[in-house]
Amino acid sequence: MTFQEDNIYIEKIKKGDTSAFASLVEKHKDMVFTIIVKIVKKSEDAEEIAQDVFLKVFEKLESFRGDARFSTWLYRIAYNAAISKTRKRRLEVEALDDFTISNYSVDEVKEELESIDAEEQQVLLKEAMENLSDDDYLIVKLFYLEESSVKDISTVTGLSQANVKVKLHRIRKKLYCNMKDSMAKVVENIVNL
Amino acid sequence: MNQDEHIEDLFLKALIKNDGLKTPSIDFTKNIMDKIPSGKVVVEESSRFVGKNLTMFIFFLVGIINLVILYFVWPYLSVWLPENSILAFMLENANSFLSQHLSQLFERSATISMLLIIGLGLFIILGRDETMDSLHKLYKKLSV
Repeated sequence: MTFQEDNIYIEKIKKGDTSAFASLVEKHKDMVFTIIVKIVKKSEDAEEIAQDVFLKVFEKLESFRGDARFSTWLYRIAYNAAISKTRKRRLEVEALDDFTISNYSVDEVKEELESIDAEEQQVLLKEAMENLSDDDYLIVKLFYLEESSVKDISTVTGLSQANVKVKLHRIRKKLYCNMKDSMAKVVENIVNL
Repeated sequence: MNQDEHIEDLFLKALIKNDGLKTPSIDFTKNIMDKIPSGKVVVEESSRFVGKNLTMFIFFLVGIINLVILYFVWPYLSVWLPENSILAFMLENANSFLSQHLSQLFERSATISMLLIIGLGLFIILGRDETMDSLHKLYKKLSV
């Protein structure tokens, strides 16, 4: 997924080829929808807001100069739209002194996870992701799935880059801990049977 | 290991990538595109007559107007100018230079236009391949 590709579509749209906008929507709709649905919760509302976001982006495309990545600009608009719809407060600044979530060593958990099959790994991750806060979920998706940089996530969420790094560090640990807990529960259930 | 190395986790990245994203309804894109007027130009293409182009256009326009005025006014103007003045000398020379070179330019243009018309006519009558063959043969003869 290259941002140069986005710029090609944008140039086409600016020249009057509105059909090129469909390609942009197709490419980014899932991430935009994920951002919004995580904040507003209701799928129907999220879809409506996501549509409004894309229409707003189309209208404002003229003002997009291409200094930043289009996706970052789009996700920021989506994030702001969802926040203002729910009147939810923005992300709070994370204290920079990191603390230990649990005594689990991430490397040990990772080793254990690698020993189980891929399907089970995926189930454990899904469960762990569901236990994350909405904001943590979005940050982790932006970083690992969208491969957004810390700087881009900082632009989308309004957090400082240092705070994004701290959050990512903690979320990663939280995910491994959640997965370790889920694994322990599965083992316990098997033993009890 | 610093914090950046901690967050770059390929194992976790692979798992999260496989987990994917939440998806909107199937007709999501269509619903948006229906609300966008087709062929609407978001940004007007910049006009050719702006900036440098406009400056050049005005420059040439003013130049042509000056030449036209000079052409018509010269017979009257020359009466008022002292015969041996530098200005009279310059205007006289400019006038003769322009009339001489412009007429040459027009003659050359007319010759080129005639050749183009003949070439185009041959091209239409003989067809592309035959014309190209003839030109090729002619080129060979000339090069020998």
